[in-house]
Amino acid sequence: MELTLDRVTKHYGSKIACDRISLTLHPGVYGLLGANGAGKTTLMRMMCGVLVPTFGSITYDGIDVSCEDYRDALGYLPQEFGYYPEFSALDFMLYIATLKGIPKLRAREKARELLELVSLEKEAKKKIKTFSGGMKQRLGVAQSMLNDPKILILDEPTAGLDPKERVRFRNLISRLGADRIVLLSTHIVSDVEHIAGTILVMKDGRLIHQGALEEIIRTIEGRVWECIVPQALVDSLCERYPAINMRQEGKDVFLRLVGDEKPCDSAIAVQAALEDLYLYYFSEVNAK
Amino acid sequence: MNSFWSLVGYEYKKILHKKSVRVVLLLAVIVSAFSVGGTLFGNSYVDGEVFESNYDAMVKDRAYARALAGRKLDGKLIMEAVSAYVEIPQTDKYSDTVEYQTIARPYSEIYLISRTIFDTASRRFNMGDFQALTDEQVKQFYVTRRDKQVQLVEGTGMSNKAKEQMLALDAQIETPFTFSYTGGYTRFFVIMYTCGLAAAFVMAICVAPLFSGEYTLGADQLILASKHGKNRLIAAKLFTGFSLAAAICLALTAAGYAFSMCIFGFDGGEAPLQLLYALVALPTDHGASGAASRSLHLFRLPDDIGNYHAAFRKAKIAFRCNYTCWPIVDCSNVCLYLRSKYRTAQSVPYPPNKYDGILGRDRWYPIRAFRTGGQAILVSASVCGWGKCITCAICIPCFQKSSDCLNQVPIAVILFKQFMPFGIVFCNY
Repeated sequence: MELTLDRVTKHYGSKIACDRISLTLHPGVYGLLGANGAGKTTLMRMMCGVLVPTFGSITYDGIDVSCEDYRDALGYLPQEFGYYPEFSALDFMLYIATLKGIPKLRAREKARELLELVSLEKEAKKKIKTFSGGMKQRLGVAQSMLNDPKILILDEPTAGLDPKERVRFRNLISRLGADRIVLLSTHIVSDVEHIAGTILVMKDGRLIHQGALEEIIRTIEGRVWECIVPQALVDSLCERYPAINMRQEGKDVFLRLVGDEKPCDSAIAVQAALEDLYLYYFSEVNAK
Repeated sequence: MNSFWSLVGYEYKKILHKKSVRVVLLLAVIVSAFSVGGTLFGNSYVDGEVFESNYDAMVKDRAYARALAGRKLDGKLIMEAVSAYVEIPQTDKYSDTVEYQTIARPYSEIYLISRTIFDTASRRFNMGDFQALTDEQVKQFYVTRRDKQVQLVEGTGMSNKAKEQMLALDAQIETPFTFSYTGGYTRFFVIMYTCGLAAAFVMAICVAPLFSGEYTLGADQLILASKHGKNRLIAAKLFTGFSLAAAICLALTAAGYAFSMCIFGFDGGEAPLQLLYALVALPTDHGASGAASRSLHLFRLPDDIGNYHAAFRKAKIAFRCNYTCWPIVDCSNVCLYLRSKYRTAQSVPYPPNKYDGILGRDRWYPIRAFRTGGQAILVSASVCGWGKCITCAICIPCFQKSSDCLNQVPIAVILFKQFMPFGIVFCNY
């Protein structure tokens, strides 16, 4: 089971959304990190066959992304997608099951099972237009798993979910990753931190880092600083270094900063986390 | 294949669940009802005073026509009408006279039919001419009609063989015609002119979002990433679009038929079509025309269906659909051929250019009839004219296993117009 991306490139006119991305994915959970506009969604859409790469190829065990067999092995939850407001949750699941080529009886059974998994069993016959954002998101996650996919691509699956649901989904995704390729993108760094075995970091359409959490974090080891500074210094420090955390402590302010050099005399180097790395690469300070 | 039909079902569900679609369908039915009954609103006036309502006039004329129903439209009946019309004094508006209302009006239908026969290119036959009709002229009624028909056919660009066939068909028409009240069918044929527009309006609302709606809703990504989203779903959507368009046409036609019959009366199914279109060259009746051209045989009485079969067996090779001209868009009539003689076991395309051109602006459109092992017939029609062309096809189930079922299956063929992109239904008994 191997998903291979070979120099996958996508141009929109002169803008390069994805630039020669080469990857080989095996069963496991992959977390895709990147700021808005980094090219994550474009990459995922190409991996789902929704967009055609300008250049390069995507294959799953030798099956090209444009083939029906590839899509047969695919489950996809887009970042934003529409529901048929007049359909009930069950209707919607059955419709997607039909699109996925699942036999009717099996589809009904699977749909009910998944609706139960995402705690929507009581709302199965309610119209989707009556659902909250979180419920719709749960329905989206459920539909992506209908065909028991070998490749599961989830674009911000936990957006709109409450903390309890998020934890449930994280655990579910973690379990799913045992025997399939799961690629998820999210802005919620802690989700990736908890479940992704491999983290992929994208910036400006390019894959700038990939590896396990420890490997990735190692790149900013010794660059994360904490200090308590007077109020007067806060602005100047925040202009020079991406601030990860800021907390008022009496008259002074506690700061957690990322930078190549020690930001002030009182600063002490601390252990880096994934969020530090994210801010290090994608903060406006560094972008400047 | 099951998933295909399931997908079609879901497409229908998506469309029919929309409130706008239901509202538009209801509106179209209301418009259809109004088109049929609209002429009955209002009154006619004599000397500025209400003489009778249009509805009362229709009821009265219907009663007069029914009183003459079953009689042969021969010299005797025409002379009877002439005698009644002679009583009308010379005035600017003869219909306001007491003589017309009391003596001549019961024969007004006879006058109208005579007028179409005796009209000439240089002179419009009027009431004065009718009053002056002689016994000799009346005896020549069918001869005059035949001469006019010959003149019309000869004036077309058809091949000589086609002309001969046309005139042979005309010769098969039983004369003298048996008179009947045909108000319901007349109204039905008239509203079919605008039915296409109403159908187009409904189709525009229902069918337009078939593909674009997925993008609007944002469901396109899910669809494109699914197994059948790039092939079977597209086929299902196309099928839904075509079948829905056909269903809309059929439903509006059925509504128009039902309203026409309920309001104006069911009479006239067996009356010759020539009572309405005097120069139609086909030996068929009103009911057959309505049924064949709009597949409404399903709504008609069994004895009419028998006639309809008989008419088609007689007509055999051609049927001229005499309506559904939407004058703004395209005035051509659609003529469909169904050839019984091409009935080999193989699929045989109909010769497309053999018959083209009839009656001035009207056209024969080639139709292709294919046989598929005696189980079904695929009929496809190409409607071409004024630089436009639409080809539609439909499979006609044939339950007989006879090898020459094409000859036996009465097929009602519907028209394909720019505004009527699809629609055919037929049956086999």
